[in-house]
Amino acid sequence: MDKISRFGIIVTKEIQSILASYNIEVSEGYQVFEINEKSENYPLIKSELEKYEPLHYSIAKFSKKEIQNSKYLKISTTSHIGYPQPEDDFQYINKSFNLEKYCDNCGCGAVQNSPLRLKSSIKLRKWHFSQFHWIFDTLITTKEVYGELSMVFQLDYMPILKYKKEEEFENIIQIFPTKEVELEMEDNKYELCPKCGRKKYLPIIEDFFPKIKSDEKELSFAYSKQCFGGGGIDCFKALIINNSFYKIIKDKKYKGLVFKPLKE
Amino acid sequence: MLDKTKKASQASDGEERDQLISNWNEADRKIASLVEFLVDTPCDAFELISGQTLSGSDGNRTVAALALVIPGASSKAIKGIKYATGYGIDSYKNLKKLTKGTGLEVHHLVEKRFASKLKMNPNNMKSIVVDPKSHQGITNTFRKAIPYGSGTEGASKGLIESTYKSIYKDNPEILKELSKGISK
Repeated sequence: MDKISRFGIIVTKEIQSILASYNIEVSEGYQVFEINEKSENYPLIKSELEKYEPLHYSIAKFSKKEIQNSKYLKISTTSHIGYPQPEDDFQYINKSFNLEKYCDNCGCGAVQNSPLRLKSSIKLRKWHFSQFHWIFDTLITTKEVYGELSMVFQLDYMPILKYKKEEEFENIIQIFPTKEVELEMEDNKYELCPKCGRKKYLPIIEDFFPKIKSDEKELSFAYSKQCFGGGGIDCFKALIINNSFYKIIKDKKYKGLVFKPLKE
Repeated sequence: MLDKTKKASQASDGEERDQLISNWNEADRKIASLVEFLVDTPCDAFELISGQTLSGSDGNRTVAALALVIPGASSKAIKGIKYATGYGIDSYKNLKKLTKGTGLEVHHLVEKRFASKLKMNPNNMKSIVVDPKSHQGITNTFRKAIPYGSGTEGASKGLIESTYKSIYKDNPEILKELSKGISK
């Protein structure tokens, strides 16, 4: 794994010449560039840019080998298909979720009990997996992909409805894992909701994803028991797959997923 | 409005021009600033819209006539994100109403995709009015800083804040508004 520093900065002529001295060529205006933190110039560049108060954060980048050899992987999508409807004031939560245990402060505890809705005008691009905005533990796929995967793995599905028309989309569905696994969270940062007392872990972007507590034999596709979120009402469970699931996705050349290895 | 703009554009000195402009009503100012914003973008952009009618809650006004108001606007050095300042910074919902039918777009200052992370109703989030090309440009900038998909998922409140602070660094008026709150 490499740690990559991502910088975002309004590049002036002055900043341009600083970066050029490290062989980084950027145009003027707002630019985003990445530097491997292992690079010998990294500490110098970081310190020279500090006074300009750039956007600066670290992300983990994994090698192909690390991903291919990982026993378990956390998956995310490369795109979001659209906003769940009705979107005004997050009213979709009332439409598609059981809110008996829901906390409106941290967003945790909502259990999906009916299909999500999407504007019927949405353009479906070419992907095999996508996700709704705001609900980061949804996974949308095509009926064809579901057909292939469900022959090998245990997974559930639900239709996606066209907002206002209440008709099902013909080609896309939402798929769900049927299991949950506990992760070893160690010293990962979390927030405790002052209203409901639930723990929500901050998203992990700089490291491997936490490992599974006890190895389960039949685990191919699962939710984490723990919840994650960025501080608002986004509260989601991680989607985890095993290596066999990953291999099928790769063999079939399904597009739209990003993989993060779990610690072993 | 045509008379007003002609007089203002023909005024020989800045003081006289300022005096004439000070008599404009709010709707006149909005349209004039919109034109200033448009002519500051490449000349083609102005020619393309020249003669088109802008309609909004303030009525219909033609851009061609209004363009006379600020003949030197395109040479004015403007730093930061360009937007139609006459509309001000307002809620997405209000700006959507004001710009209906104009061909202009409304940009959430902090992108809508982060609304759940900030616990903000997207319709109430502070926004600005931009032309479609600029809108795409700002969206691309945010997308580079925090990529779609896993990037959005992994974004914390703190990261979102650092991102918009760095993007709007040359727009202090936007940062001042956001420091008061992301929603209206």
